[in-house]
Amino acid sequence: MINVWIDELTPCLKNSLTGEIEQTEVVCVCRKSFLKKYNRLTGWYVNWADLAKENEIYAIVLKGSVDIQGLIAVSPSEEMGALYISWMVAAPENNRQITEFPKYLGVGGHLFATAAYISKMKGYDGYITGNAANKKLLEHYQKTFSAEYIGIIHPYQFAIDENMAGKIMEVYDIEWTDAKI
Amino acid sequence: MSGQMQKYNLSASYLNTSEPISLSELRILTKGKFPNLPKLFNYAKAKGKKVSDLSDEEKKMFIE
Repeated sequence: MINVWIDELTPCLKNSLTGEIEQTEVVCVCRKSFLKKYNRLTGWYVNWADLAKENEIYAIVLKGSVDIQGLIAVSPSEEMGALYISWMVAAPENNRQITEFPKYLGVGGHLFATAAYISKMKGYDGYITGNAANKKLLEHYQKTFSAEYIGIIHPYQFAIDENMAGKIMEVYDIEWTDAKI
Repeated sequence: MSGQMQKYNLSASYLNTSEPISLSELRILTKGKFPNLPKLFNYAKAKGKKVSDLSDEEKKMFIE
């Protein structure tokens, strides 16, 4: 389920109060014990340690820290020829559904760019697919990223092709790190 | 405890958010029938259409 709002097209995260730009990097989160604190009660919607049983988990962190600003759970789908996004969400302090004043802007877009990047790494040319949490978000992704409505595996299934994935990756800087949490 | 681990007053709509659907669950739900997305996008491109504008029948042609 994809539950992020694309608030700003910014290469890096922007502090909404100061306008300060923060560099980020993407790290793989492998330790289930680390993910235990990211759960429904702490504003992360689901138990991320459970998600890690069947998905690869990646985090957007402030550079040089483990200060997580967004999480994404993905699985490669040979059948669909795409990267399937099981879940994707901004940190509660950046999530407009939880807080009126998000700390950092640009997290949603960075999560999509991360998915596109992983798709390319896995050999799917940037194709990504997933299910929007509701109709409003589906329409938001169609408008913002020219996502295409698919609606086959889920009523709100959408997909992004290689061309659009390339454009998303041009907008958002993704710095990959081999470090693992 | 970092700021992001603080407790939030979570709304009912938040707490009612659907559970994730894993790929393995989808394989069961769809009986292993998935749309091949690159083929679907290429078909739409050849037709000069957006995928969103294709009919359900056209989309289902790419379920494998």
